Amino acid sequence: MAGAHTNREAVTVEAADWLARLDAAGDDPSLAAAFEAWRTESPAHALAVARLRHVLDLSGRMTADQPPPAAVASARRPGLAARRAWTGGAIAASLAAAAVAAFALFGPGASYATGVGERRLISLGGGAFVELNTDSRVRVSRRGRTRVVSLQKGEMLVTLRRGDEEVELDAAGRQLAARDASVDVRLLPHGLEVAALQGQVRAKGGGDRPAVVDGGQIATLGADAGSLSLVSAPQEVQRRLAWRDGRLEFDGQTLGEVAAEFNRYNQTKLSVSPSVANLRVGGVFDALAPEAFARSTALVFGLQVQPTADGERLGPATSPAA
Amino acid sequence: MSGKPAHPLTSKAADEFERWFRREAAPYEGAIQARLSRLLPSPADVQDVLWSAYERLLVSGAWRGAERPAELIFRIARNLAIDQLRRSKVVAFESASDSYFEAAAETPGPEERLDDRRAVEILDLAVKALPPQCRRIFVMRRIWGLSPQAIAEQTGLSVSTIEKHVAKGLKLCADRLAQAGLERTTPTAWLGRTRTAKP
Repeated sequence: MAGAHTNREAVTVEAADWLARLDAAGDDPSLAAAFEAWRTESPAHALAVARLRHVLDLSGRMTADQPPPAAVASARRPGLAARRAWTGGAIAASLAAAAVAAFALFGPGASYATGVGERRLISLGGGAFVELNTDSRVRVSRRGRTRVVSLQKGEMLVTLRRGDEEVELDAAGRQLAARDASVDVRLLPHGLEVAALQGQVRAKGGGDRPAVVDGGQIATLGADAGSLSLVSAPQEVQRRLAWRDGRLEFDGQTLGEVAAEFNRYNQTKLSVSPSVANLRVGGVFDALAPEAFARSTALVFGLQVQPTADGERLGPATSPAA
Repeated sequence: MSGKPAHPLTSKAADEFERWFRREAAPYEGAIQARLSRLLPSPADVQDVLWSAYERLLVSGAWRGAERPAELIFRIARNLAIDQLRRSKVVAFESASDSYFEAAAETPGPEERLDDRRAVEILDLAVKALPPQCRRIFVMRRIWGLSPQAIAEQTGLSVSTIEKHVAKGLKLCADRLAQAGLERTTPTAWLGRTRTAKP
């Protein structure tokens, strides 16, 4: 049925183009008429439109963690404001304010934190974002003209836009400079790890030449300047970023490591008995479903799951009729 | 074919179908897809069969009378899937036991309905998984509600590029939402396989 999926794909792309055009054009009766003619031309067209408008409708109910900067907010179309559900009560005030430069939003600095299992999307203004992973804390501030993002706990993914000024990322006492990059920074017990999704990050300190981490590379930095190890591992970078989709992906990590990873995201803690801790696991899992992971893993490896005070423990099966 | 094609649908019928689709069909897609994927080799095949089922319902108007829409959609899609299996000759149909099809026999129940809140959660994840530039534009337009002109000023992109990103984001999110019923959730014992590098 190869012809069917190419057709379905092509019709969906065309429908998306129509809806985006209508969305951008506002009130345009001739465009609307042309769209209706296309939509009613075949059932496939009508179906594609139904599916995509369902997504549009749902996207209208999504909320942002942070409102857009005041300068950007003042350019919004009137009437649209009422449809969006914003968090925080200061929104009306910020919308009424005259245009204010976006970067001034973070003058004295602002801190953001996530609880266990939470994720937050924090705007830096102008389309740049910080995605804060579970159980983390970040502070965004300015030092003179430089924007500084300091990771104080946990893990964050920073996405900067092309053409923007350089941003300094601080973590574990080390400084990184990033421009037009998308980079994940994670604190380790003694140091940090940087996984560059795209773009380039420079690690400052440790001699005259700062080390460069390119897209697809992972750098491990110790707390003292000068210690940096770099590997090129694009698929490992992708694996580590599965959390952005609310998932955890493993490709040969030990059961012990996997349990520790799940524990970052959940109050229900997984523990693993030493005799099975070195079993290697592959797969993609819902980050917030440790019990489901424990159950399916027990089935795959023939293990037993037992309740503990704060969660569940995976261990060897003790009875033949497990 | 000569001249303009005759339109099989009126705008009114298409609108009514769309409302029905969003209310009765979309919330059960995940559950229906999960069952179909036991019969068909790939997610693309599952989508094809589901689309064909919807198209038939739309053209015949049978969607209007359906008392149990999820069951009707599922039944049509499943029959199409079985026909496809017969034709593909991958499964020696005559010798396949009844149990082969049993797994896909049950119609989705109301407890499997995906409510809007959960759908928005899935969509939230889908948006976060968009390519970076596409995501920025999509969030600015669809979540923050900025006008295309305001986005153009902020980003330096042309309005037509912004439209392209919104279209791309819309399509990728719809693909993701459609896949929600097909995610692999069972772990595998890792066998030390080496992955080939993606281009």
